[in-house]
Amino acid sequence: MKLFSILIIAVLLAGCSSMGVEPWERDLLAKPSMQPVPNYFDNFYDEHIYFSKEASSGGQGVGGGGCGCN
Amino acid sequence: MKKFASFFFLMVLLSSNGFAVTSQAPDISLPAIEGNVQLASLKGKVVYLDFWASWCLPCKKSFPWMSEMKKRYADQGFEILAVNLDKDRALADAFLGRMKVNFIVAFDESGKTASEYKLRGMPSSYLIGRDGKIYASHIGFREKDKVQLEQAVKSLLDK
Amino acid sequence: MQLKKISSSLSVASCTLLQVSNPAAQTNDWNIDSSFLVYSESDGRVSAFEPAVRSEIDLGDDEFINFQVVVDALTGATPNGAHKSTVAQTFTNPSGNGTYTVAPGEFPLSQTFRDTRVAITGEWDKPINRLSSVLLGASVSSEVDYTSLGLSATYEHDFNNKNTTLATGLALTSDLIFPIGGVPLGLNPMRRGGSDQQRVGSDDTKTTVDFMVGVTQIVNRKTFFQINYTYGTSSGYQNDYNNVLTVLDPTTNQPLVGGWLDANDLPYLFEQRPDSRTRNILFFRGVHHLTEDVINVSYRLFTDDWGINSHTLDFRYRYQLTSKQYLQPHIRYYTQTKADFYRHDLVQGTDIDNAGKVNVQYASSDYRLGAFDSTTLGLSYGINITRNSEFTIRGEMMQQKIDNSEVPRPGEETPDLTALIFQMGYSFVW
Repeated sequence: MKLFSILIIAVLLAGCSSMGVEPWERDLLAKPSMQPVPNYFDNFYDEHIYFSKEASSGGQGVGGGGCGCN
Repeated sequence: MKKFASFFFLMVLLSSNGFAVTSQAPDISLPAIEGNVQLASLKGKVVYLDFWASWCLPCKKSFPWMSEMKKRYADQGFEILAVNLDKDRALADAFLGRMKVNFIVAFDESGKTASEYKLRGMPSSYLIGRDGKIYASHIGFREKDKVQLEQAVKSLLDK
Repeated sequence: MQLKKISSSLSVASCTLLQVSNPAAQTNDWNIDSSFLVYSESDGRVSAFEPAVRSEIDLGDDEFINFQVVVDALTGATPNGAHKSTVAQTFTNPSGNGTYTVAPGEFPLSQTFRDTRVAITGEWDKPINRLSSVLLGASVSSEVDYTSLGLSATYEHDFNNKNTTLATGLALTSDLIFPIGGVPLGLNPMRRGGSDQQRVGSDDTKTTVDFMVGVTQIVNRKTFFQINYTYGTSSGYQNDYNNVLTVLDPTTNQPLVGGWLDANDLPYLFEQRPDSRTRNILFFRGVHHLTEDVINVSYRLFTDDWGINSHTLDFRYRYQLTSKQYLQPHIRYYTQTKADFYRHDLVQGTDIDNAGKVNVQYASSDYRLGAFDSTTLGLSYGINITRNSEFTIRGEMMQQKIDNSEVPRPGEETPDLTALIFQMGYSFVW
C-alpha cells in the first residue's frame, strides 16, 4: 500500500510538471473562495461531528487533537 | 527511488534559477496611469522594474517600500517602473486607490512582458543599470529583503 | 476567515502554493475567526452547543501563529448498546450508582448526561525558504472522563514553479480515559446498581500515530486538486465504556434471566474492542472556479483492520450572489460497512456457554460500528460586511439510515437518526 502510494505520487508529479500556471496567473487561485477549505469553522465542525458519529475520520491532514466523543 | 530523488533535485534547481543577469533588458512599452511608458526612454537612469498584482500580499507590502526608495534616490537618477499583471484593470485601480504611489505604474493585462522576463514568482523585480542591462533579479518581497535590495540599488547608482 | 493557511488546523496539504488571499491583511494583524454551533438530534438524543474562537497572528514574511479555543457543551442521551425488548429493561448508571429503566419496545438510551469539553490548539507556521515551510501544532482537550494531548508536524515543499506542493505530516496523540467509577471489565456483566461493578482499574490510555503524505497540483488558472494518503494506528483502550450488549435468551427472545448470571448480574455485557486499530485513508479534493462560482468536491476512501470500509462524498457549490455575498448548497453522502466484531447482541448457548464463558474475543453493538448510510444537506450564506470582515450562517440536516437487514427479530431495530446543525460565524481583522 505504501509503495503503491509512493508510485502514484511519483507518476502524478511527473505528469504534474506539464500542468500549472505562470506566477502572474494566480489571481483566481488566490481568492478566498478558491482555498481548499474556504470556511475554516464549517470544516472544523463537520470534522468534529462526523468523528463522533461515524467510524471513519481523518484524511485531510494530520493534527488537530482528539476527544472522547467517539 | 534514486531517479525519483534526482528528479526532485532537478526541480529545485530549476525553480531557483532566475533571469540571466547582465543581459540587455527586454524593452517594455505599456499603457501607464496617464499615457504610455517605454522602458527604453528611461535609459540613463537606474530602474527598479517590479512586477505585481492586486491579489498578491507581498506585493502590497512592497509598495510603501518602493515609495520610500523613490523618494530617497530620485535625485541620483533612480526610477521605479511597477508593471501590474492583473487580468482585470479595475482590480488594479481599486488597489492603487488605497496606496500612495510616487513612481510609474504600467498595466499589462496580457502578461506578455512577464513572459518575456521569465517571471518565477510574485512579485518579481529586476534591477536595470543606466546602460539598460539587467544587473540583479529578485523573487518575492520579505522584510529581510529590504536591506539587500536597497544595497543593490545604491551600488548600481554609484557605479 | 479568508487568509492563507486557514485550513491549517488540519494542516491541509495545500496552502503555500495557493499563496495569499487576503489583500487587506497587514503584518502583525490579528485575524479573528469566531463561530458557534448548535447541534441537535431528534428524539431527545444529544444536543451540543459549541462556541469557538481562533486568532491568527501574521508575523510577516509568511510566518503565522494561531491559537484556537473551543468549548463543547453536551447534554442528552445516547444509545447504550442494548437493543429493544418486549419487556422493561433496567440498567445501571456508568458510575455504578443509580439505575434507569427503559419501557418495553423502547430503544435503550443511557440516562441524560451532561459534559463540557474544552479544547485548546496552537500552531506555528514557519517558512524555511521561498519553497518550503514547516507547520508545528500542539493541542490539549479536556472533559470529565477524557484528556487528550496532541503534537503534529507537517512539512511542505513547492515544486514545478510552485504549481505542485508535496506535504508530509506526522501526528502523535496521547489520550487518557478515566471513566466515572472506573474502567469496566469487557465482556463481563453490568451489575445491579449499588453492588460492586467489575473494574479493571481507574483509567487507561490510548496512543495514536498518524502519518500523511499528500500532493496538491494546480491544473490551470481555474482548477487544482489534492490527493492525500494517511496511515494511522491506534493502540490502547478503544472501548466505549458506556456501551453494553444484550445477552439474549433464544428460548424467550428476551434478555437472559437467571442461568449463569448471579443475583447481582444484569443480562448486559460491557463491550470489548481490539486494543489496536490500523487505518488507511485516501483523500481526494478538486476545486474549480467557474465564471464567478466555485465547485469544491471531495472524496474519501477509508479502510481499517476492524473491517470497516467507508466512502465519503462531499460537494459544495458556492453561488456568488454579488461580489460580496454568496449562497452555498452542500451535499454530503457517507456509507460504511460494519466492523468484524459488530454484534446486534450475544446469544446465550452459542456466543456464551452455560457457565457464562464468552466464546467471542471482541464484541460491540455500538451502532457507529455497524453498517449505515448518512446523508447531509445544507445551505450556507456569507456576506462581506467590510473588506476585512465576513459574516456567515449555515443550516444543515444530517440523516443516518441504519442498516437493520441483519437484525434477527423484527422490533429490535436500531432507529434512524436525524440531526439539525445550525452555525453562525464572524471573522474580522483586529
